[in-house]
Amino acid sequence: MKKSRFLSASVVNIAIMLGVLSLAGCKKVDDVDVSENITTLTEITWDELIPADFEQPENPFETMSQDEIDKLMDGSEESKAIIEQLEKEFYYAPTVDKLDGMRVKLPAYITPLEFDGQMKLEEFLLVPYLGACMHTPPPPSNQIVHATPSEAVEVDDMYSPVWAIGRLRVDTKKSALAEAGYQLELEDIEPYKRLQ
Amino acid sequence: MLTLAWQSLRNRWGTVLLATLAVAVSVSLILTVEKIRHEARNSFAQTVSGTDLIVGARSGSIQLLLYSVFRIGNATNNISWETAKEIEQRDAVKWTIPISLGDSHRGYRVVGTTQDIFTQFRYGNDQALRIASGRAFDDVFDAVVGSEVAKALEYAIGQPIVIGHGTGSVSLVKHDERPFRISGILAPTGTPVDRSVHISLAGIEAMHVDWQSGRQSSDELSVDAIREMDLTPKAVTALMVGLNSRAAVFREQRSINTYREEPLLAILPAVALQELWSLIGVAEKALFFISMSVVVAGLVNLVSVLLASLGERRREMAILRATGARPIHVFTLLGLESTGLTILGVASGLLLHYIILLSSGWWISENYGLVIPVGIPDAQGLRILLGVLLAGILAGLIPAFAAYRTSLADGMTQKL
Amino acid sequence: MSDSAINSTSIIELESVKFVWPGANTPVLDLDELTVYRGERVFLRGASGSGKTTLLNIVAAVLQASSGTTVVNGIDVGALPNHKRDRFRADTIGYIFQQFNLLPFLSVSDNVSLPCRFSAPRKRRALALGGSIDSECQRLLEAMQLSSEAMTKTCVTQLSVGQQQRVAVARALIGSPPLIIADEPTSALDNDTRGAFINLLFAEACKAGSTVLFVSHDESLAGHFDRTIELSSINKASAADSASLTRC
Repeated sequence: MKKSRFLSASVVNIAIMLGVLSLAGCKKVDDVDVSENITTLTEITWDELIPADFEQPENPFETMSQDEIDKLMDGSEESKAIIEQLEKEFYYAPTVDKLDGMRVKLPAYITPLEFDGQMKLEEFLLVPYLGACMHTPPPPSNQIVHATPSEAVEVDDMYSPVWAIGRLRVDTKKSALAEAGYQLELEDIEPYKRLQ
Repeated sequence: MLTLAWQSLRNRWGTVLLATLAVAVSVSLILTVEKIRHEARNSFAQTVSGTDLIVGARSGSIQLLLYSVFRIGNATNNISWETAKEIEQRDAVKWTIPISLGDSHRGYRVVGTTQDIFTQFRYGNDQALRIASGRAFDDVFDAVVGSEVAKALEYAIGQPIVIGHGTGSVSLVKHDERPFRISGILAPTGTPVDRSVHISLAGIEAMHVDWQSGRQSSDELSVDAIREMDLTPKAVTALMVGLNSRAAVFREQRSINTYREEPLLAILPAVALQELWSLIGVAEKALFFISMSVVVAGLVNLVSVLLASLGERRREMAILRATGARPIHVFTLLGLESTGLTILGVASGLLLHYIILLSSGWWISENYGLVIPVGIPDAQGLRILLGVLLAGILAGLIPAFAAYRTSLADGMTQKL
Repeated sequence: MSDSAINSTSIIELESVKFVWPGANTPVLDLDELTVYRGERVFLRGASGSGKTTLLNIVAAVLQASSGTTVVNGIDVGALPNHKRDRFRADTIGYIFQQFNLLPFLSVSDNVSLPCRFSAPRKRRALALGGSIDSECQRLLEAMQLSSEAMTKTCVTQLSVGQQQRVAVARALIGSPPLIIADEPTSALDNDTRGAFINLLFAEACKAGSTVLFVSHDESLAGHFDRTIELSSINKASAADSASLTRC
């Protein structure tokens, strides 16, 4: 009887020890307080970020013959101008302006941009699929959301999708230098779990 | 009861001292490891900021990050000057900072770059480089050194320095006739910038004027003659790029990666940093786990020392019982003893931790460029201290409980 | 707690007390009756294994009798719950072991004053007698012929056995407990010092009004005492014939 009580007392003690010490090991900074505005949260999909009536033009280079492509690649000013024009048309990615100011919940993958001193995310991009930064064609600008949390967030697994929650802003300014795009004032990040 | 516990411990200090010392050492270990981990992570993560892309000749992304930002390792190839110019002139690009690597000065890396490094480059919390004394490079042979270089080699403004070819710490072949001059010293940044010597791209060309065939030629050109030459670089090692819109990064990266003129690699520094971090992170976590295990070992040892001593103390318990102590008194006595030892161990550990930091702080900063500020423990440190204290107190209840049971069973009948 | 059989002049009253170790068949102790009166100096004689330690433990409420009533100082200790028995022992009994009586990490006077830490009544009585615990300690040590000045500062391990035993007596006596139980306290002493020791003990016990129950196997000491009880003659369980089993 004595022995078993000791055993259980020891186990409890060690469990408490480990528990307390592990608390010391990890800390999450997640929840940014939702402000006075208690507006509803809308779950949106990536498709909704593209205007419903917009039709993505085909990649012009796909339909050209090899000769045509070679001619464009000759390096002349004229060709360069043509390429520029084609690219402009191809890359044109309009935004859905009425989403501006909405509180949304968007499932996305994270591409980090800035870390703070403890490798927490200060600024990042949200994209619809992983590998947006690798060899696959990059997503158009209306499928990229630039997220800025008010406080750096910790994300354990950068390769898993998350729910990004916050207020969406549509940057309607278009200039020669930059395309219009989406910004997210990030409130919270949650791991994404597929609901069956 | 407190005085009893105190007297009891004092009487047996030889035995318990070692156990307490073990706890102290383990606590100081974990505190120091955590501190260094924290600062190293901080230093690592703060190396570059506000840069959208880093472009280099095609190699691997971590390799590019390492040589361009951390100044570790070497590039296999360069980027042509034309390409660098082409990228700079793109609409989407706001600024570029070209850098040229490959040379050294007394073990410190020499970085050829433009004035943009002083205006556009950011690190840490969006901080720009600050020239603490002197000015940026103006003349071909001007050099701006990082704070560590200036301190270690005791440099002053106007001092002539000689830059060697290659990255070895000892230059076997020097460019004696063409000394550079220190025009400025940078304020400390806590990044590899501190350990670098910055010269203009023209300066790099000037240095290599007679190295065309891979070895120094015997003709000697005068310094003034060199200044007159066209010192436009033919190539640079890497390019740091800032874009007008951060979201444009994917497209520009893709465009650079598929550049037809030459094989290039464009990386997002944060992504590459994250990849590098995941490698280091495993070792880091292992280190924490090991330190924690050492603490657990220290506490287990303390408990076992106390438990072991119970055998000899049965007589004591019997005497206490005989003079009127109840089992709960025995429990309290031992509980107080173990709590006292734990507190002593943790406090000594904290003291030891400070001693270690203070005494080795300068050595760490000299050799690793890591500055570890010494102050009251941060939130993490306090959590560790509290956690160990709590764990120790709880663990100490084991011998207390054992003594309680023993004294109940023995009563006063313990025969020697 | 029934007071019906309490005799105010008796300090120990045992009736039909039996003690069997758990799991054993035969009792170690089987008494019809044992009475000790207040102020008596009783010599309890028994050989090893005669059950005297068990008897002492029952009187001191360390062990509970398997059956029968145990009344000490007017209290039925058999019926007391554990924590009350501890308190009872602390308040009522001063105990002296055969040897190793003292805590090595406490000074002499700290050792002597130990019971006052654990028993409020004893502390009160000690204060009433001496004004302060320290002066009571000194007084008792002097009564035990231990010069108090040097004594209080000495480490207990430096004392001779005789001195240690006398300190133990002082400790047993502080706060005037009604009952002093001495378990073979002279066995470790030289023959010539035994008598002196007992005299010292009696003198102080008398002053305090304490009863002394002295246990030993040494017959020669019997002469000092008011009464001698042969344990083997009252303990039916210590019959040499092991075949005689007593049913509880």
